[in-house]
Amino acid sequence: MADEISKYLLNQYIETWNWVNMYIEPLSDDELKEEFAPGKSHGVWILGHLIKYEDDFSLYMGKGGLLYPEYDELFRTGSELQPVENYPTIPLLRKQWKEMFEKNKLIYSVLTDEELKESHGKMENSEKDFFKTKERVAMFWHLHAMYHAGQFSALIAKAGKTV
Amino acid sequence: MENQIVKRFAEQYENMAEWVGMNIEPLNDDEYKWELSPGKNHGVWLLGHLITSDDDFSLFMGRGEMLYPEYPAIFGEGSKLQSVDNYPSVAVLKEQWKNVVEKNKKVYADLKDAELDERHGMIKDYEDYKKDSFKTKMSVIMHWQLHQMYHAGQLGILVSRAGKSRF
Repeated sequence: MADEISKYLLNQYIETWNWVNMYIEPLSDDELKEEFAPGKSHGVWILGHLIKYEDDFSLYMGKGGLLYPEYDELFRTGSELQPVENYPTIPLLRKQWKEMFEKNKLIYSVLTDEELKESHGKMENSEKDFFKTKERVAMFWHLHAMYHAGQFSALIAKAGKTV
Repeated sequence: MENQIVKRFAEQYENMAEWVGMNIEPLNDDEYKWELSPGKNHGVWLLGHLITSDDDFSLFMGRGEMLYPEYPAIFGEGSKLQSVDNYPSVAVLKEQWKNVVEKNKKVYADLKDAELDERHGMIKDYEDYKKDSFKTKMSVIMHWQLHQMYHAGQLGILVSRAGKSRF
């Protein structure tokens, strides 16, 4: 059957996004400003971090550029944590998170199983690269997003809310 | 080549299990006693929950019984949170987590692409099928793996609190 893996990855992507979003939506703007552990990332950084990686997906798939290239410096893994006032506003980040879903659903809808076996679009050194193929990038992106959903759930618990 | 889809998701399973393991291993016995939030799940319950949630995968795939059938009652979704002294030791739980992962690697090795869209092994009849949230083996594969990463993120918070993570 044609492009079965791509189809399953699209399904997994939709499931992942909905699951993560289920833990973002109930948090108020003030609750997103909270840190998940003292001195550690706050919800604003985690949300921006998820946007940055979702945006990056198009580059890895060879399907177009970034919508928010300035987010690499602000939200990449290891970027210096700043007070929430130094980041884009929370309503803007919420809007951009939803934009990413629309952007990446379109990419999944045109990916073929043959393409998924190819080297990803940001490959510089095929021997040293951790992800190697487009398919592995997609899978790691889903696992990564779910990991951060667990962190959002701690903010929900801290706020005394349940999902 | 045979069973290419299963092979891809088996690889995803191994990556997931490695990532989860990276959040299980750094915590010591005392750190496992910490609650995620006051009155909420502690690390011991989260670790047991990871075990039981992955142990029943073999039932859903129609590939054998649970290694720890007593765990859904104490670690299943909605089970009553008890003090850590009422649960198996962290050392035992860490070992059992590894046992479940090894069991599931064998389950993946035996799965065939042709059965992925079949009803999963816990559906007995059409009435079950209509009510079931997952329905197919493929849906179970995806949901089970994503679920484990969600709880890994929660354990990761304890790792952060312990000062054993940069983030």
